[in-house]
Amino acid sequence: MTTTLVTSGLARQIYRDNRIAVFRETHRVFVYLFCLQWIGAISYSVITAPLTYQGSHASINYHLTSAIVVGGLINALPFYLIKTIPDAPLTRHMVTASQMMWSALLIHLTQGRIETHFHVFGSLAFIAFYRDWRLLITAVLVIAGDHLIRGVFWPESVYGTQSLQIWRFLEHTAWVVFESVVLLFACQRSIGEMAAAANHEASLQELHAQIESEVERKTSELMATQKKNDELESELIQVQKLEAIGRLAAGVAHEINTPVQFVSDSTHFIRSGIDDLTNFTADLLSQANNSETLDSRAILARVESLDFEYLQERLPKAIDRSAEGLSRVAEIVRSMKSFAYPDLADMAPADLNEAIRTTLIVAKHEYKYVADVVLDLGDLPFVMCRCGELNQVLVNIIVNAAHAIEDRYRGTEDRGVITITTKANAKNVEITIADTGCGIPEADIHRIFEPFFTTKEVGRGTGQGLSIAHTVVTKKHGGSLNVTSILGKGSTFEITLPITQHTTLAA
Amino acid sequence: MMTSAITARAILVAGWCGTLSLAMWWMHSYSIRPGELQGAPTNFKLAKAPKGKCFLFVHPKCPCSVATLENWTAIHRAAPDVMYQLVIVLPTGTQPDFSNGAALEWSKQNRWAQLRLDRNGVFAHQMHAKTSGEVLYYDSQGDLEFMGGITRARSSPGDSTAARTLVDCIAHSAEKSIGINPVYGCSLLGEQA
Repeated sequence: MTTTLVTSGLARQIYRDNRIAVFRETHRVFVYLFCLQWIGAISYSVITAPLTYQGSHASINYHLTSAIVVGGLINALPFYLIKTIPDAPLTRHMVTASQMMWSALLIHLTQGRIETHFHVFGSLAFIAFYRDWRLLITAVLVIAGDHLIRGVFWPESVYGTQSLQIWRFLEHTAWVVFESVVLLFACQRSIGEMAAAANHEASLQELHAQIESEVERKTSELMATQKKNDELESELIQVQKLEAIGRLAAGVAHEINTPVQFVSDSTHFIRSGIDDLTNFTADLLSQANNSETLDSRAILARVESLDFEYLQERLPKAIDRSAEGLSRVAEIVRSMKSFAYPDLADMAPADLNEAIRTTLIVAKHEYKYVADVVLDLGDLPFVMCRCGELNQVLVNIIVNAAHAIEDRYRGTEDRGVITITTKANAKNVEITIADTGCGIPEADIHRIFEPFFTTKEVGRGTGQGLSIAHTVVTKKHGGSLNVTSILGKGSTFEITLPITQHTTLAA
Repeated sequence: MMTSAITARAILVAGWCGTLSLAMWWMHSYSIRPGELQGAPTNFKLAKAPKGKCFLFVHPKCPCSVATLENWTAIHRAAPDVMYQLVIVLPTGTQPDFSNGAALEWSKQNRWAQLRLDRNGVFAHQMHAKTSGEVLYYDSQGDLEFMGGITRARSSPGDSTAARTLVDCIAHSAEKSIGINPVYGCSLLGEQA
C-alpha cells in the first residue's frame, strides 16, 4: 500500500532502510521496556507480598514466583528473536504479543485493578512506534483472547469481580479496538510521511550525485588548466633563465676576455722569446760547423743582445700567467655551464653554498664595479631542490642588489656591499642576501613579486625576475621569500627552504 | 534450509505459547486455591454483644490480610452495630514481636475492632480456625451465621460474593442459614494445626 507512494528504486531502497531502522530502534525501546516491566513486577511483588507463611515457617509468595518466572518467560522469546532475526515480521508480532502478555500479567498481579488496565493502552501506543498497523491486530487478538479466557475461568483476576460475565471481554476489546483504529490511522500517516521523506531524500541524493559529477568534471578541467599553467610557468622560468643568461653573457664574455687577453700577450712574449733563443742556437750551430773554434767574445756579445737574463726571468712567469688565465677561463665556463644546465624533472640533493659561489662567478660582471661581496656561509645540509632554478633566484636577487647599489652610489667613488649569509636549523635552510643599495619605496615593496612590476628603465629589467624567484621558492620548493627594506639604506631578501628527509650534511 | 528454519521458529513459538499458557494457568489457579476450612463451633457464648460478634483470624505476616482487612472495614461500614474482634494469631514458638505487621498497624488505626493477640493460637484452635482471613460471625444468640473468607481470591480486595453474603447474614440473622465461603490466606498455625 505504501510502496506505491515511493517514486523510484532509490526512494524504495531508502524507504526500506528507514523502515528497518525504525524497527530496530523500536526493538531497543522494547528491550528496555521489557526489562523495566520485569523489574517493576518483581519489585511490586517484593513490596506487597514477598512471603507466604505456614504458621511460623515462611516461603516465597506465589506472586513473587509469578513475577520472576512468568515475567522471564514472557521476555525470553522476544529477546531471542530480536537478537537472531531482528528484521523479520515474526519478531515484531511476538514482541507485540509479549507486551500484551505483560499487560495480562500486571493486571493479574494487581488483582484486576482497573488502573492497571491502562497498561494495555500504553502498550498499544508503544507498539505503534513500529508504524506497522498489522501489529495492532495481533495486539487486539491477544488481549481479547486473554480477557475472554480469564473472564470465563478467573473473572476476579481481570475484572476484579467473581461474577461470571463472559461478554464483558467484548466491552474491553471494543475500547482496545477503538484505540487501535486511532493508532492505525496514525501509523498510516507516519508511513506516508516516511515515503515522502524517502522520495525527498532520493531526490536530494540524485541531485548530490549530479553535483558531485559536475564537481568532478570541473575539477578535472581545473587540474588540466593547472597542469597547463604549471607547464607555462616552467617554460617562463626557462625563458627568463635564458634571458638572464643572455644578459649575463656580455659580462661573462668580458670576464673571460681579460684572462684570454693576458694569456694571448704572454703567449706572444713566449713566442718572441723562443724565436730569439732559437735564432741564437742556430747561429751557434752554424759557427761550430764553419770553424773549429768558437769566438767566445762574439757569443757573449750575442747573449747580451738577446737580453738572456730577462728571458730567463720572464718566460716562466709568462707561462704561469697563461696557465692562471686559462684556469680562470675554465672556472667561468664551468660556472656558466652549471648555471645554464637545464634542471631535471625531479628534485635532487644540492649544496646551496656551492650554488651561491657559482652564481657569484657568473654574475660577477654585474656587481664587481659597484660592490664588494661578503660571504658568511654556514654548514648546510644537502637540500632537495631544483638547483638550476635556485641559481636563477640567486642571480636575480644579486643582480637587483647590484643595480640598487649602482643607483645609490652613481656619480661617487663609493662602493656598496652585498652580504650573503647561510645557516640551517632542524627544518629549514635560510639564505639571506642583504645589500646597501637605494632600498625599495614602501609603496612598491608589496608589489615587487607581482609579474611585470618594475621600476627600472626599459632594457634594464622586465619585471619578471623577482616574480619568478617568488614562484620558484614558494610554489616549486614550498619555501618562503621575504623582503625587508629601508629606503636609502638597503634591502634584505630572506629565502627559507625546507629540508626534506633526503639530506646529509654537506662536506 | 529455509523450510527447516521456518519449522524451527514455528516450534519455538508454539512451545513458548504453550509454556506461557501453562504458567498463566497455574498462576491463576493458585490465586483462587482456598485454604483449609474446618467447621467452627456452631454456638459460642457471647458477652456484651447484643447485635452479634464478628471474629477475623489473621496471621500477622500474611500478605493477603491487607485485602481481607479492607473488605472487613467495608463490612463494618455496612453493619456498624456488630461487635468486631481482630484475632492476631501467634503460632507456637514465636515471640510477641512476631505480631508486628500490617494487621497490628491496621488495628491501631481502627479502634472499632477489638484486638486479641492469640499466643500459641489457643483461641484459633478453640474456634477451629486454620487459615488467615477466616471470619466467624455469631448472632446475638451466639449462633454461627457465617464462616470463611471475605475476599474473592488471594490478596484481592474489593467486590466479593462472600463479603456480600456476610453483610446479608448480619442483616437477616433471623433466617439462621450458615454462610460458608472459601478462605484465601496463609496457614495460621502450620503443622501445629
